[in-house]
Amino acid sequence: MNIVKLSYKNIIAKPLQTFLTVLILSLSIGLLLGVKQLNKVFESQLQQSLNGVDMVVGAKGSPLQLVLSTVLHIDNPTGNISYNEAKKIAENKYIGSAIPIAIGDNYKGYKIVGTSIDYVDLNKTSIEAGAMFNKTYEVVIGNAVSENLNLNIGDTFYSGHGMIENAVESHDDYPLKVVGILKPTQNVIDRLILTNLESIWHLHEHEDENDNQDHTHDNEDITALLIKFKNKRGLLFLPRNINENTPFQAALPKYQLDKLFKFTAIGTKAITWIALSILFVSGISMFVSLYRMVKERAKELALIRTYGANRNTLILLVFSEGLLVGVFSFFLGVLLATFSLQAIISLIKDTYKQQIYLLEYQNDILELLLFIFGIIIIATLIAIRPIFKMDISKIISHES
Amino acid sequence: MLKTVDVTFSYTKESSFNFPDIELTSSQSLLIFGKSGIGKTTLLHLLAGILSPDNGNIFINNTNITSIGSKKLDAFRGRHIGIVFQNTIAVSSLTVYENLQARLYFSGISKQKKAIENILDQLDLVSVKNQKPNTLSTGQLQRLGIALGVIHKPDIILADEPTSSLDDENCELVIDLLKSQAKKSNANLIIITHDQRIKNSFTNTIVL
Repeated sequence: MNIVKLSYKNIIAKPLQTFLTVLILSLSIGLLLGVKQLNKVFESQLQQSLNGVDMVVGAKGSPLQLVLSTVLHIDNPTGNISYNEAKKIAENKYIGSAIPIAIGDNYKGYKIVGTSIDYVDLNKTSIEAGAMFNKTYEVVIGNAVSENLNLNIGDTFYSGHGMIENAVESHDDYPLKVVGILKPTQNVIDRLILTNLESIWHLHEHEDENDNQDHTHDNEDITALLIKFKNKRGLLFLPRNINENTPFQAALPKYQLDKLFKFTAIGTKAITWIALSILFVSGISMFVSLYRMVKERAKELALIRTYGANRNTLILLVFSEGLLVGVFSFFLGVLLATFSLQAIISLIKDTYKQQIYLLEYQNDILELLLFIFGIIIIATLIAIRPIFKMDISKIISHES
Repeated sequence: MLKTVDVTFSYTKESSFNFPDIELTSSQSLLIFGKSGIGKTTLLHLLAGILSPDNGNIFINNTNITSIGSKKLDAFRGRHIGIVFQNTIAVSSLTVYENLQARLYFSGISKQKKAIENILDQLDLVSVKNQKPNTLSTGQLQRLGIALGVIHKPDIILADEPTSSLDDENCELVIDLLKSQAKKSNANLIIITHDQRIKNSFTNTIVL
């Protein structure tokens, strides 16, 4: 027998009260950890996916949509722009690099991106197996695409027109051949299928030829130019200049994402406040539980004093009871958060073909553990007040 | 060994208890007899160190318990004094066996198994050792109370009205058990009661 064992026995002797305290405490802990982790993962993955792209030039429309569709590949593009016209912008002295991308097709929901080899370098990855695309209709696939669709080098497939899986229209006459698989990056490129611009143009040219035999090759379109500035002064002049003096739109990914975060932060803040409110209620519940223990078991505590325990031992007993409930709830909450996050990630992967990687959250766990520890100390400090006023003689006399 | 000298105690300024001096040599027993409200329980609590006297001294085995600090007194009480209550108090979340374990743990006694097995056997509690106190019969509960008061082999056993709620048969049984346990521990047994039935069971009596 020891203090912890006695506390444990006391806890399991009141299962309903313990269950309710553990339930709300672990729920609030799970919710707090889960929301914090999701928020961090969301922000981190979006920021990471920017890959230093300073500006996106594309068709006019919503700047956020342009960024989401061309940098993060999670929305439909705003439209197409003429590659020849766009190339003129790329010649500006402030621009360090301008990578063209053409999107609009998919294979089983994974987006096919027509681009240059520079796009691979931009995403800080390289070929893991096979080689880089070189000819028309050759593709290099992201690591997640290879894994999830079981595609290997030499495999061929037909792209579907549009951005969503099960597109009605497909380019059945022109198979795309896998020539390379990229190293995993835990980034958006993992779930992309890359080919050269010509492949995309040819696929759509032939499609147009079927409709109209007089089709010419002069008007080659792209979706956007992903631009990195050579000189940050470009940020001051170029976006405004493009927006005002060209038929294109210039969007700044960092600015657009900050706007997006501010918008989504309202939701996460609301959930965080709800979780904190539940945590507050669970703190009160824990206090009530400990206080009731002290009041209802006054004669047992007085008895323990007659056994030789001093006041500090009784305080330790109450604290130990709170600590056991708190620690158990905490680990249950962490498990709850972990399993829920895995389920959400799995759901997002299945629904949006978006691979999300959890960040290490030991610091968040430690932070929350200290917070819970604080709640237990406060609850104990309030609950033990009757112990200081305990009149053993009176309590025992009433029982004798 | 127990000795009290000029012990007085008051709950209010108006009323004060002046207790007679007590002196018991090793293993002597004493019956303190008196009506309700005369201060019997107060005296017992003073002897147990649960209350502090206004004046006077209480010596148990040559230790003046009125002059030692609170923590030392708690530890002293746990090791040297055993209390048997009229209505047994036990930790409701623990079994009989665990209650005895807890008693020894808080008394600072680490070798527990043999002591517990012995007392369970002596007080016929083996069959209920895994039961919670609230499932015991009145007799079993009373025996558990005695076990909790004597298991740590105290120097002084204080029993507060141990027979007042028992029938004649059980009354005699409890007194015999207390006497035999006190003898085994070589302890002083002090019983406070207003129960006339046990008046003749003790040769050493104080009437308050």
